[in-house]
Amino acid sequence: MRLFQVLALPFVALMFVVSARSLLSGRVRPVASAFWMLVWLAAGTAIVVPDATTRVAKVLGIRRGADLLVYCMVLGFLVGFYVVYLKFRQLTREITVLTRELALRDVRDGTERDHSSAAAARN
Amino acid sequence: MRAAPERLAGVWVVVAAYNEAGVIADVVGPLVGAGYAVVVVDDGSADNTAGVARAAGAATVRHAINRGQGAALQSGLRYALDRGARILITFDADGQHAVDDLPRLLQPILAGEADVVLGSRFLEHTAAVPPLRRLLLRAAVVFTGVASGVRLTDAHNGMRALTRGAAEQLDLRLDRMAHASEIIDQIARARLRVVEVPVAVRYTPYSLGKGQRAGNAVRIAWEYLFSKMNS
Repeated sequence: MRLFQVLALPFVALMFVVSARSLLSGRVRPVASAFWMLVWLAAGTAIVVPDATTRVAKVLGIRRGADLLVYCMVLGFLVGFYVVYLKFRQLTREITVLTRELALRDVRDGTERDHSSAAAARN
Repeated sequence: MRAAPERLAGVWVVVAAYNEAGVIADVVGPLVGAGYAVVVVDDGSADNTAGVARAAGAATVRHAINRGQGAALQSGLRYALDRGARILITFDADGQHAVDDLPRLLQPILAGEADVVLGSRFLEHTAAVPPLRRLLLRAAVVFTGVASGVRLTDAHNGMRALTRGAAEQLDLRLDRMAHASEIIDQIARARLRVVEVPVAVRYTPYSLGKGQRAGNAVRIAWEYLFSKMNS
């Protein structure tokens, strides 16, 4: 067994167990847990059988397994960025709604003085 | 030119203001003097915008933090709707709009001919617009026209009048400047009747400094397109 395998396998195995536990606990969406279990399983396989990535790559028309890994990583990062960006926009939206509700509540509570009756009375 | 006061019952002017303490009194004062009910949304200003606006006779809503003009306008519209507004006007805080244009803006709604009236600086008054700004605004018109299907002469004019029914259908989600295109978009989707009327825009060094820089156009376009793709 090579040193890299000795170092990487326990980590990957641990992450697989963590994902499996989260699947069983029901705290995380099952699809997400299953996805991560698959990712760690694939990573473990690639570490134990390095040629496996090359075989999969050849099936897909890519020459080297390392290239396949790079492509997967790039795609993964892009998807990740997109998901985080969507989440960021949603958070921004929620902050705005919260700011608005607080501002309008301040008016109702009289913290921000409501001059609407005076303003409307001028009509 | 002044609208008859009784015609102004239930007409609310919504002003979104951010750090405008120096000029907000000059904007609110004439509006209040002309008989309009005014709500200034202080969008998290560091200065005393809200206090000055109140002293000038406006009702105020204060955002605890700055959320952008679109967000502030939506808050102001909500405020006015909650108080039974019949007609809602949006009006910029930097002094570029003229109160004298408001009767002309209101006329199509009062006559029952439109749900939304948009001010346009390009129907008349074209001479006063600086060349670069004119180019940008033309681009915005084309862009908004293609994206929303509404043909206008001026897509980013802050002076608008809406019936209560129209304002109730607006739900501005683009907090910052892209809301101007978003408004047009939502108007188009709701199939509201839109009319443009000529209004003057006074460009002062102050209002130009507060206005959008050319570089922001790309960001505004991106924000708007992204929201369209994901809506």
